[in-house]
Amino acid sequence: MAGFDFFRSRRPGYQPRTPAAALKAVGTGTVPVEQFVYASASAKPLDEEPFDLEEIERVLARPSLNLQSSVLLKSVLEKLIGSKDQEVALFGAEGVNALESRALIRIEKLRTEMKTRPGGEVRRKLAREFFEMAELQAGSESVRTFYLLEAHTSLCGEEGELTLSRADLPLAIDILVARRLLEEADQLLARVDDTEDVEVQLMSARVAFHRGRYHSVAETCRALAASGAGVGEKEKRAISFWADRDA
Amino acid sequence: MPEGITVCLLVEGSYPFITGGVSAWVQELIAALPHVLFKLFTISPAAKQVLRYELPQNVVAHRDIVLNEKARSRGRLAGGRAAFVTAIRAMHAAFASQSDPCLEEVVALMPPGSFPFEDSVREEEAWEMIVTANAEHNPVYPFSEYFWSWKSSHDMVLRIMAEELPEADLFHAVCTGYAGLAAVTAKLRTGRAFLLTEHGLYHKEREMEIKRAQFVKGYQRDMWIAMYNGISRLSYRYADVVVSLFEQNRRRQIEMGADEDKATVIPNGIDIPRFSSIVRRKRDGFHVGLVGRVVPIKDIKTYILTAKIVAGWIPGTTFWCIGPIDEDQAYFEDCRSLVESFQLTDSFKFTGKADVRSFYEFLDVLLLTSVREAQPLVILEAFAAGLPVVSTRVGNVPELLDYDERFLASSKDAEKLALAVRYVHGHPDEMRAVSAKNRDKVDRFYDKTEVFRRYGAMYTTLSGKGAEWPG
Repeated sequence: MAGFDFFRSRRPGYQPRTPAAALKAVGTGTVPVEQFVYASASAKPLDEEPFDLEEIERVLARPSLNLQSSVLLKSVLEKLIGSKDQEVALFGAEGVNALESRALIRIEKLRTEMKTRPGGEVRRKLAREFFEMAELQAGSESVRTFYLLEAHTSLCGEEGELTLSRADLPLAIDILVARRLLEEADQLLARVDDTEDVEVQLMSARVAFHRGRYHSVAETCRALAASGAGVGEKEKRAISFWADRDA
Repeated sequence: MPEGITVCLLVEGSYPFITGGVSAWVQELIAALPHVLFKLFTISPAAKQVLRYELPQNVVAHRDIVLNEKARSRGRLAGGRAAFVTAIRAMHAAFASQSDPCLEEVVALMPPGSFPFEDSVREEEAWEMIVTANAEHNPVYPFSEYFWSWKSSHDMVLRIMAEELPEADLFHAVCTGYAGLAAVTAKLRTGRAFLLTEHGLYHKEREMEIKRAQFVKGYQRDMWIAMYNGISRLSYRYADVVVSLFEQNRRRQIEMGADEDKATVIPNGIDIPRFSSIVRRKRDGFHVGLVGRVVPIKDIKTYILTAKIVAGWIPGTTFWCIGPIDEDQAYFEDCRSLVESFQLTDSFKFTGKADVRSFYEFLDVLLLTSVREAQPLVILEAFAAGLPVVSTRVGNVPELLDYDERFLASSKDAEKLALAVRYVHGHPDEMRAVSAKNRDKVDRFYDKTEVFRRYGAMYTTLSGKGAEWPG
């Protein structure tokens, strides 16, 4: 390894900005491997101050951001809005608008689609979009509630939860938990016939957790651990955490 | 009778096809100077757009060109292709080294009507320039992506530079960008003066768009931003006078290369009697108004949220949203649903397009929640009509509101805006004094007649005709 002194002696030219670009550039022999090490090791969290505006711009320009990234990005952009530098504040405000506008465009598209294909899949997608819009509104409880209600109405329609299918259940529980309608969430889960459904059991444990019924959470997790049910890594960690608790 | 002045007015992406602040300003400028003949040169994204303004009688010519459309070459490059490419290369080197690029040579080699779309890539030196630049900036991604970005950006620049502009005594561009570039080229070809007016800052607006765009990726983003910065710098460098609406933007223009002595501020102005003659009539309850289109940039959702907070504090308040609702249907629907959800349907009114003067008669406060503004005319109108104003801290608004933090809030800060509205509600006597001071400010600095008189005087000076300015 030539060492990192190349940073001092490097000539102007291509400078990869992301670890992915650096890796690609190392592969083509365009930059030394240290450049990749530097790009990947010096990455700092998006929400760490002072903010890296270039990185924020890059993330904002990504076509498909998941909910967690959008929420994190919005929290950073909201901090920028308060900046004394008007240009930075403008960037923050327009960034928030851009995030919300993209969601609105998707919502409008799904609404139009609902007119021709009013099926469960489109309805679920529309409700999911509203739910994610709600999650983006952490700073304003009333706007968040508005979008949660929109999500609920989109998913359940006029008839309420009675019409929900098994496929609707995870999103319905997400919405009810977010609205703190925990009794309703429990009632909804109680209507599921298949008592062996692992996902339903995990949802029950989640609702119990939000209701402060930790004993019930531990019990469900122990049962799941004993049955060796096939679950993902994240769930496995939660199950193991709770199953090991004392009753 | 002095000889008339002919001005070639260069406008990009607005007047007379799109309504908005800049378009309204252009229309008023032309109408305010009836003794000046205007030849319009407009740059559009698409052909055959519908005119949204009736052109005043002193518009004697109008030529519209479509930026992306290839024109047929009617001439040949002077000095040949190789000399032209060498000049282009020198210009790129100047941009890269942050020094002032000289456009004289490129323009001299490029007679009007010679569109060198193909020459720019067929010449060996040009090809080598592209390949070298690709190796430097974009070595790990497909060359084709770099090539087509390079080609399309250069095609647009060359398209503008090769255009033959109408004959005129001076060239007045209403932004930098392609309109400014056309004016620079015209100035270099004819020796006539170039006046630049910027309402916002073109390169900053483009930068913001590019950064937000999801379809412009990686190095292409840097390239487009650098190009828009580059052509703005050319405008600042070659303009004989650079006008901005307020001092902060003037400083930015100077930072980008405008000569400090040539950079001046001429604010927006309004028809003062039209608003100062409004007879204010107190209506029952408290009335808050926002004048603007229902679009995300005006952040109507923050207005609605502010309304919800204020409604809890000041019962009987009515909120008016005065402006077109049909520009962004999805956004309007979302706003309307939000009003319903907040149970504000009875107290929050979307008026659609309306005569604002009838609202200025009874509004108790004007609220502006925009995330972006330059120098909002609605604030000046409200001042002239005697209304207090609460606003987000954007563009020139803090200066207009005397940096008075009681009436200012960060963008999207509904609670602070609501507090400011509550302050206005709770201090009617003080608001009368504030409004009198604001009205005086408008009288002194923001009179449209005076603004356009200054333009008339500049036209006279820059055209070198010495025609007397009436009045």
